[in-house]
Amino acid sequence: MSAPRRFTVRLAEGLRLDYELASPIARGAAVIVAGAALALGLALLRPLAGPFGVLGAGFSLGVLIAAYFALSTCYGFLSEWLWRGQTLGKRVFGLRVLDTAGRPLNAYQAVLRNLLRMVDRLPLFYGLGGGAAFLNGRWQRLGDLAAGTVVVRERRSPLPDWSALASQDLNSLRGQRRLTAQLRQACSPAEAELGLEMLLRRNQLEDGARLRLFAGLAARLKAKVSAPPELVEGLSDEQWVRAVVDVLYQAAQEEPGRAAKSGPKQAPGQGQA
Amino acid sequence: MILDPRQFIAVESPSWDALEALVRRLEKLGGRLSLDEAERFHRLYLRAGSALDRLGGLSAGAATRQRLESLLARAHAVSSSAVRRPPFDPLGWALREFPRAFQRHVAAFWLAVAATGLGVFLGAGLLVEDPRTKPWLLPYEHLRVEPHVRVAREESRPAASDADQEATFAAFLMTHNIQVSLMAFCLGLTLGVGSLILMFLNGVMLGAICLDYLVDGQGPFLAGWLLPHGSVEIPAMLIAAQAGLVLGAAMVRRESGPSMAARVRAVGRDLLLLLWGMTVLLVWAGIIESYFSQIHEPRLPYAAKAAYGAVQLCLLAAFLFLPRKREGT
Repeated sequence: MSAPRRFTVRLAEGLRLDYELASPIARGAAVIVAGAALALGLALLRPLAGPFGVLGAGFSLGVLIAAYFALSTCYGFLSEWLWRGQTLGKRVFGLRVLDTAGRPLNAYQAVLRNLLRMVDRLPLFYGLGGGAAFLNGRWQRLGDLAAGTVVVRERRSPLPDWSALASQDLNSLRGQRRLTAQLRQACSPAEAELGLEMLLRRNQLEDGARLRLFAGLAARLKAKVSAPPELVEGLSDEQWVRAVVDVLYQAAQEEPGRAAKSGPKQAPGQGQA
Repeated sequence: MILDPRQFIAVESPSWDALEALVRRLEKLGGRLSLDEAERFHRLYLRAGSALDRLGGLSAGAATRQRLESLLARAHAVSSSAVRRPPFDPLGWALREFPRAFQRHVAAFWLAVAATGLGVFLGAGLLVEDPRTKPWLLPYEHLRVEPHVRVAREESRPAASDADQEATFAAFLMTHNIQVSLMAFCLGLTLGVGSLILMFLNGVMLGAICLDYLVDGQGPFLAGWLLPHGSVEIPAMLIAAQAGLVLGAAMVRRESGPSMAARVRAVGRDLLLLLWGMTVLLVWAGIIESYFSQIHEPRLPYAAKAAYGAVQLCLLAAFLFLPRKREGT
């Protein structure tokens, strides 16, 4: 499976926002859900048109035809306008329409991209729109191209779970000032970050891959310092990496006041010893 | 330089949570902030941006960076749209804004008129040249019968024989005509060529119908039948094509200047106004066609119906073409 396509917006403040574009499959699924919701809404209209029957059966049918048309035409752009780029289907799948500057789409864009579905659907099942999306780097159908919009996947990422790191009480390297200093001097920032990232993601790794990765990094870290054998005896590769990463990042924990005042603490590999 | 992500998040996350709370408020329908809150929002936004910048090269901060990017994207989106939306004023749009938008793009309207006119001449010419082309030129069954036969049938129809069906017919006409007109607009995606072709084909059919009835000596019936609703319906379709041409013109690739998205955005409001005006006109045309155009002599003189249609056309022309005061003057 190919990596999701990305969409980047550079803001005047110098910020760079990175979005994951919604794939045509996710968008198709959202269309199906929205279609089902619309069908339900249309079914509910029938009893609502009933009272107009007192003016004649033809009048009731006329109201129903007009209401069907109004709902099916306006549903897409009204919901996207009022829900800031989302229909029911997009809400279900966590998708949102944005304009290509990262702003929420305005009323004109919502109307335009939804009306132009008429052409995107041609000749059958979004043939034209789907073709345009596959040829376009941003998965934009014709309506999106004209309205200047993209559909992105919304992320609500939680903060990292620091509990994945070792219990500090059980770390045999703690208190070993000389060894800690050696490790900070010898380890590059990339190695320290790699270790932390591996620990944070350990549960997402397949068992064999996890063992291989930790073995490789542990061997690399062990080669940098001469740790007393009694400290490392009986430690698995993962435990060794965990212990090293913990001592590399521990100073700020011990001296929170300093870290809070001075911002980032001195890095491993930058001669703190 | 490595920073301690744990420490960094411990210090910074309260401000991110505070920003998220404000973003959530703004994301709700009609969500607003006071001036103090807006200033706080701005400070928190900048602070979160700075945090994202500091996390920039740190792979261990990937999850935090992802969260910050998501939060900043939402904050950027709500702050960009936190301007007051114009009040919903459908009557004002139709009566004041629509004719202004029409006049701003009147050249596109005349282009659509020219395509229709060309079609009218071709349709009439083809029928004169070879009457056997009638089934191809007139796709609807009721238009293929000899005009005098249809006129006799219409005039002998008892009054109110199907009054109950008129509402259904009106709704069908409105929705069908709006759909066709929206398609004329959507075909503007083909840089306007599709809109012009649709108008041309519409003109071919119109020309063939008119000539068919005139040659058969049914001119009064034709005027009484077509003018009351056609005087609104045909201009409405031309306006849809006009909107399509405006869209097409905005999509034409240019060497310099604003991007296509920016150009379409610039005409977006006018497109909406044209489509809104078109919809209102077609709803009116549907009502007239089902409740008025279908009443024939001896119940209603054709001259009266034609006069109504002519007056309506003049009023519509005045409404669309008479110069308007500029906004705010």
